[in-house]
Amino acid sequence: MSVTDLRDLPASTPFPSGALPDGWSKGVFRTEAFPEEPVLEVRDLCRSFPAGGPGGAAVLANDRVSLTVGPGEVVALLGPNGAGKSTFLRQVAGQLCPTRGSIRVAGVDMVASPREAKEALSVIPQEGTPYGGCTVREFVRMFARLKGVENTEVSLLVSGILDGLSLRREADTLIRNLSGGYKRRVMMAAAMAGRHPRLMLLDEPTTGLDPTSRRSVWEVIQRLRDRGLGILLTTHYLEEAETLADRVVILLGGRVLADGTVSEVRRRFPVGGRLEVRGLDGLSTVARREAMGLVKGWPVISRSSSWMRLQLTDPFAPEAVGLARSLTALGALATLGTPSLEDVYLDLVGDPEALV
Amino acid sequence: MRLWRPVALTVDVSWLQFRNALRDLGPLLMFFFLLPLGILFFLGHLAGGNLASQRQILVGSILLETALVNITATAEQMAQDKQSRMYDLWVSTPVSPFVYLLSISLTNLPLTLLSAGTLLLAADLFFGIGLSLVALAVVFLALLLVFCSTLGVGFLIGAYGWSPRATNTLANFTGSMLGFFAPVYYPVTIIPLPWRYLAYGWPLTWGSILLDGVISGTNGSLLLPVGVLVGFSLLWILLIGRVLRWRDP
Repeated sequence: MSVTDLRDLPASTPFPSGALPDGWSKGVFRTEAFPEEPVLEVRDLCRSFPAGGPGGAAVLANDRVSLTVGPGEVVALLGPNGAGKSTFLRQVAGQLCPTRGSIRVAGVDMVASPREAKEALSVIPQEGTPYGGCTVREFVRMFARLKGVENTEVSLLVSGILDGLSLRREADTLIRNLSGGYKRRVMMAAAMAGRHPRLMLLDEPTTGLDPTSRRSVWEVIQRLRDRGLGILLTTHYLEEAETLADRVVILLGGRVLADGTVSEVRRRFPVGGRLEVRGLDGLSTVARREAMGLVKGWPVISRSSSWMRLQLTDPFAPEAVGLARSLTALGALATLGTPSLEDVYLDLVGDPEALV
Repeated sequence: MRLWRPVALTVDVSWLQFRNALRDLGPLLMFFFLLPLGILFFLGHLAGGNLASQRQILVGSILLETALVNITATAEQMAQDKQSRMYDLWVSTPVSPFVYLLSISLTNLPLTLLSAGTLLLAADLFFGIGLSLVALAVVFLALLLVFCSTLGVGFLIGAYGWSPRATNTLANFTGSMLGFFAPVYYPVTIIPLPWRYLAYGWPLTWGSILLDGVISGTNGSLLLPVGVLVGFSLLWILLIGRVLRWRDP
């Protein structure tokens, strides 16, 4: 039987066994304590809102959305503002009733038995700020109690979680004295301080954080995923989705446009390739004019005075390779590439009708 | 066991939040002690040697403190929790929303009672309004009843405030208006008749009648205010039970 260790610090004092909830033992969370069922199963979820004005049609914020999250899987929910991501998360978190469809968290129906379903659920709200007057330990302890952990178990459990999220040194620090990245970690620690954490919902977990803090939150997410937690996150950073997610789900107009691994989504929606040309501002006037002549007729995705990005049907076609070579010969830096998730996303979101 | 668990949880969480609140001791001291003591001494001095007036001012100072804390602190905490998204974290827990509301209110109760005790001590020392131990115990029980009877006001403002600023303004306005202009610093009988009926619709009026009766020792007439305050408390519990939902429909 494999055991996943929640604590990273090897010097941790061993906890006495027999005092922790199911699934926890000696500061170790055993994912095997639970069957390998999906931690989240959403089927044909619909949510409509009444029309804003007289005679207006009802707004369908989620239209037959289905998705699953397995244990130890990170799923990124992508989509532009107004795509229905927040409405979807609010329903899964038990904050909003669905109009139709079902939501099962760790096998428990969220609509019929929200209290039981929430025992397996950890929610980290977007840009949530924990109570500044608490120490980290007090704050996590409070939420452990709220999530049903008994008084006799709570100290051991909180210590294990703080160790697991590398918050041990900050345990007795006032939260108001921590940086934004640490505050986000504290929210994550509090959210997962339950008896049976199985699913974590993260709403834009790194929005507003500096790059270092962002990396540290990523590291925590990866660590939790490795320990068997199913994670559903929303993000506007496609690099974040590419780095963290095992699967991406793209929503637009309340409907699922794409669902699969990053490479599956790329394959399913081929958007060709791209040619990036940099260093145009360093070229002589003649060379620059010649370069502009060469790219004339090729579809431009975006451009500035120093660079441009061209859309290609096939990045390895002889014409594309020839164009790149000619531009390089003029002194520009030309790079051929396959589409990133961002290219696919922009292609999908930019022209959704083409996919229906 | 099922009933005891949420009660124990509420007390536990309130205690944690109370300890955290103590870290902002400066503003707390001003709000809970300096403000009511200042009002007591200022108005008590204006009342001259009139013991009945000074007793009414003592009642007013205690009630104003209780009502202000219960209304403004509850509403403001809810507004703050919504803004910082802590409310969403609470919603994600498997506890009843009553636990949330009660733990916010109870967080302030120890300091409210301590403030009342300080006011009673000051009134004894400076105005000679002494109380027996039994009367003191009854005063604190009456205060708990007043606390329960105003429980829902702060909640309703917090629940329906459309922004933190609106909630804070509305809570301060309501607390101050109803604290100062309800008949707590003066007897309800001096209000002209049509307005008096309006005053009877507000729990602090009955709290004032109850506290004044206990402190002055005229215990015979206290059954009616106790009954009305219990009624208000039950009404709030029913209303909160209907309105307070973690999940939007």
